[in-house]
Amino acid sequence: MAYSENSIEGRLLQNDPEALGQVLRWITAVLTWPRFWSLREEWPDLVQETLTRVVESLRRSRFDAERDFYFYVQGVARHTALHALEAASRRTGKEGPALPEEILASPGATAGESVPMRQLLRRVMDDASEDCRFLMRVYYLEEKSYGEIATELALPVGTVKSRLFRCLESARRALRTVVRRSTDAAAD
Amino acid sequence: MSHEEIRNDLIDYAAKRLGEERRRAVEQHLAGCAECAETVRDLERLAAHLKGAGDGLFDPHPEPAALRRFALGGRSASEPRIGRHLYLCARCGLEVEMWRRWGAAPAASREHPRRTRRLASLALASAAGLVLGVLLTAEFRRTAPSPPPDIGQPVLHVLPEVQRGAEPAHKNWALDPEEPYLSVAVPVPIPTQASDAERYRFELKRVDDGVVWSADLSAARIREHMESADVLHLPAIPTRIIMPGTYEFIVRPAQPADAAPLYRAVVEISYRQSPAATKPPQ
Repeated sequence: MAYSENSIEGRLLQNDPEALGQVLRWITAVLTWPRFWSLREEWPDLVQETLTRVVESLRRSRFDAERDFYFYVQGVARHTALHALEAASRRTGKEGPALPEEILASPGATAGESVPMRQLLRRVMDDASEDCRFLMRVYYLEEKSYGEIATELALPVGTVKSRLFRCLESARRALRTVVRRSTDAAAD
Repeated sequence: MSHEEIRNDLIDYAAKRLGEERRRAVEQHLAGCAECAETVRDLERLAAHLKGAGDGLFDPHPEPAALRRFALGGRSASEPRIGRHLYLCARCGLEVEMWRRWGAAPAASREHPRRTRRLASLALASAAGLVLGVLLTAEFRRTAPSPPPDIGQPVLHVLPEVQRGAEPAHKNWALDPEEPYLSVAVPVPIPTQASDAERYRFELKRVDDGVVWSADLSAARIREHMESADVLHLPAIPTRIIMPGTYEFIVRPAQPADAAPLYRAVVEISYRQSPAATKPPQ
């Protein structure tokens, strides 16, 4: 075997559950990006497809053990998802497949009611920086004032305000990529 | 106040944390600035979702091993926390779904991942008696050279008829953890005076929480189903978004938002433990 038995690559080839869990986590982190949210129905198949490609590559010793396996797995996952997006756009003639029904139904639901939307927001939060998560939590959930937050972080109030605005802008952009598609699909 | 000054106040305005005077100034600006008005709409939606979801949005993810134990039916002190986490985290939900699937076979040995989903689509389509099923079968035969595994027909969960205003029906559903979709048949009492264009909303709502799935259908479409089969068949509610718990299945007019339900049933949802799912992947 080209990979040591103790390496994650070697353990994956032996179906070690711990290694499999780690690789699965790397794959799900990519497939659930907001960019790939429209592939939601296909996620389990895409996980399996990515994993099959990675394992096949290891079996044929195509992966260079000197490289970072984490980036390699994520690259395969991204490539697999992009390929699926392309296939979907060829089928539908649009940028991707129609969004799942529960997302399409969300715009009509009252704010705070839609679990799929909250799941999407949760995913967006995963990619936000630690600073952004902190700012959003203390401002919205703990309802602290800018002054209180500024004191806690030893920053000027203006900096806190502009940082929070940038954080929200970034979350807003990620959400809009999905919501815009759902609106387009609903209009069809 | 300038456009830039107003933008500094939009977060507070959307969170309803602005004083009276500045609030009026922002409203005046919004009336003539489409860009800020759009930002405010998004910020309001974000604020509502952030507050609605609470701390769950910021929880750390459970360790992969804990998710695997949870998926394979292992009991642990962290189980309720993981259950709550999965409710909001699609990424960990996907991990759990994969562990449940792999309970039956080694993960890396499945060489034709797409086939399973195609067959699932086929099963659903044929259950609904759609001609499309035949076309998909033809397409499937062209693309899959070897016989696919038999995943069987999806189980159809039938809800009983309930008179309007009567107590809701109670049902217990033990779902197959490997079934990707929940398939429901429900008798829908559409009022005779409702126009064909009128829309009705179907909701699966977790008690004490929120709607996990919903779909709108026109009265015409519902009548079509009811006339041919006496029930409306909803074949594709993804089980990934349904955690074990007590749910209400509600049918109500889509508008207004607080319209009284036409149909209501209380459903206790659990997952069957498949014998294979108690074994870790080999």
